[in-house]
Amino acid sequence: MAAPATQQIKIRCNDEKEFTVDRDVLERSVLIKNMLEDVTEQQDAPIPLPNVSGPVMAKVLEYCTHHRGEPLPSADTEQSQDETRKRTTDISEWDQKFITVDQEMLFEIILAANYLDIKSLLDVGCKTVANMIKGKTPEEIRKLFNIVNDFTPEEEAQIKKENEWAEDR
Amino acid sequence: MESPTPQTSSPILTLPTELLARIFLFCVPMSFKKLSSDLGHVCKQWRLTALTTPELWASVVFSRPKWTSEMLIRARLAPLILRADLKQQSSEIVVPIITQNISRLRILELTAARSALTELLKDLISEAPALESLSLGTDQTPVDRFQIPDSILPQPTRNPLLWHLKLSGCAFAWDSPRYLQLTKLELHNISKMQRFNLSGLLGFLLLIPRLLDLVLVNSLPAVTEGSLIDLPYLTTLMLEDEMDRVVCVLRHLSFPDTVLSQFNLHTPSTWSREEEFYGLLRKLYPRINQRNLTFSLTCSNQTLSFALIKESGRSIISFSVSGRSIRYWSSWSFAKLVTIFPPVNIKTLILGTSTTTVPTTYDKSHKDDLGVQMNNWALLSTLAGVETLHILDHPPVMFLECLLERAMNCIGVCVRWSTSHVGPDGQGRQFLPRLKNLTLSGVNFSRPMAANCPTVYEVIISYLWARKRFGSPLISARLEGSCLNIYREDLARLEYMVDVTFALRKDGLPTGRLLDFEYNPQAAVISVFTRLQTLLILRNQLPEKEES
Repeated sequence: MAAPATQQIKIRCNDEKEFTVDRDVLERSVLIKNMLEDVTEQQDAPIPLPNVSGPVMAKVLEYCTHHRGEPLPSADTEQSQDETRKRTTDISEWDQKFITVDQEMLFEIILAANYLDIKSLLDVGCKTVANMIKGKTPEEIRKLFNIVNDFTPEEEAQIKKENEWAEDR
Repeated sequence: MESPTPQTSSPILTLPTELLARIFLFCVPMSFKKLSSDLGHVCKQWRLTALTTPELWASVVFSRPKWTSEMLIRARLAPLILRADLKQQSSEIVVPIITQNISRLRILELTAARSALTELLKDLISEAPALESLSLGTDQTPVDRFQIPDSILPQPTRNPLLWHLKLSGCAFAWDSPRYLQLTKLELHNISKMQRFNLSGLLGFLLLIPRLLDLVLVNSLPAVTEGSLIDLPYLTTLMLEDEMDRVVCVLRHLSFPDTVLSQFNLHTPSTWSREEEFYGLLRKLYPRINQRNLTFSLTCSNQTLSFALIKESGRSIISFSVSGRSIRYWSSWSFAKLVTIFPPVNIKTLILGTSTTTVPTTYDKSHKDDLGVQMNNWALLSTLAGVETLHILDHPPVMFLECLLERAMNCIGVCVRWSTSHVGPDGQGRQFLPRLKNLTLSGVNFSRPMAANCPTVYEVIISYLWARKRFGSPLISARLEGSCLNIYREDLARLEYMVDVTFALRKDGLPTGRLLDFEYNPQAAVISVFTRLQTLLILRNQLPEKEES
């Protein structure tokens, strides 16, 4: 017997780019899952996603397709709690390759994952940035992310004092 | 502080505060002391985010009093993590802070001298309603019983949150009801007088119905017989002790084959339970379905370590054996392990040793079982899915020989003739046929594999050449900065074979290596190969069937 056909859903990004995607792939996004559950009748009109651009959505869909079928983490699962409790920054090999993108795309993916409510992708993005930050001095961090040091001299003095307190003796 | 003016040039500053705070929390492991303050020193926006994220400051440091009080203020009402070693820090500083913050104490780790521990804890934490994790330890090697009264702990009705208990060199009475609510239990260095007997331990574990993580280090009972018990919810298991004790306990446990397990086995001069241990692994993990596994086999002077690692980086099974001579470590262990675990799912192979004392192929004392060792390494043929090979420090020499010999056989260059490299279709079959990537860490390019032998590097470069010549070249090689004695010419040779990633600046490398290879690579490789094989034959007197 042939397997039942997977329902296809259309989405439209803020640059009018449209995607037609299997429902189970899209349901990695809690936002879209809830939207689909609220709609009782089948609709042909695409779901508008005003906060995500086409190129970013293409990356998000690549992630969702790779992880389709995996259990969705709920807020209270042991694994989810454990992850938060231990604050580990391990990222799987596939996810590492997936998230090897330029900074602009990386932060766009993080924003999209947050908006679409895809916790695992949000964690991959945040852990990647955390791994970029770890072990660097404030000056190195500024250089990495092109951040301007905007502290006033008084604030710099306060920071210097903090450093003296916090230094290992 | 003035409100920060938005900086438009930096993509990271487009993130809202709550996402920046989320990243910060991943940056600051709970044990780390200083990074929280570093994050606040980047720019105004980051400082504001750090200062308004109380959890960043909740891991309190006692060694710097001014900083301690500042962290407590910044942590606001966040649940606290307190770690103190009362041999180094004064209890007069630590105890009042614990007392004042008892209602929001989440994690407490205390190490103290035995004489002080019970007295300090008395009336200290029994009223901690939010305590989730408690770790108590003494530094002394326990020789006798050291029992802490469980009245120091909050009653389960007052604190249902306590899920983790770690005890080092001390314990509560084994019938204490406080154990029953745990999901993680760690017992370290329990004195032999205070340990369970086997049936006591098994009965005790049965009474902790929600146990997910179990760690028993130097705390296992003597070898006896008991009943099999089922731990259906277990997710991680770590056992460390004498090999006989670990094997004995393991024989009496049943748990899901999804459990992540680690065994550290201390063994006397003979490895009397080795077969039983491998048999148990096979029984406990009848099938491992994950794909893209990493198989790691490494050793140091006295320790052999194995790990089967998931794509996420977590080990499904790892074990180490220490205290045993490692003379025959690699091939024997390799053979055992590839017959237990699913070679087709292994995508990455890590091999190496941090010791130079590992015997080489040409050690005369090895000649008796050389054939056996070669056959063991020939099990490489079962690792058909390996795409990435990491070689660390001093690779197992015979492993490289096997790779090279097979690759040379495939292009028709043989010293010891064998037909096993030819498949049913008449085509040559490589070991690790899908191998595409090679990583070298800590490898000394100039070190000979043994006296009068080619160097490790020469063998590797010959292997790369033979694979290329056969039509199944590797794609990339990565050289970590820890590699030694690399010449610029070495990189040039490597780049002739594969794409090379090198951690250091090429123009900083010395020059001067002889480059006969470049003018006639085929002659150079055959020279390396025949030197290697001839030495092997001469010194180990293997039967020689045909020479070409």
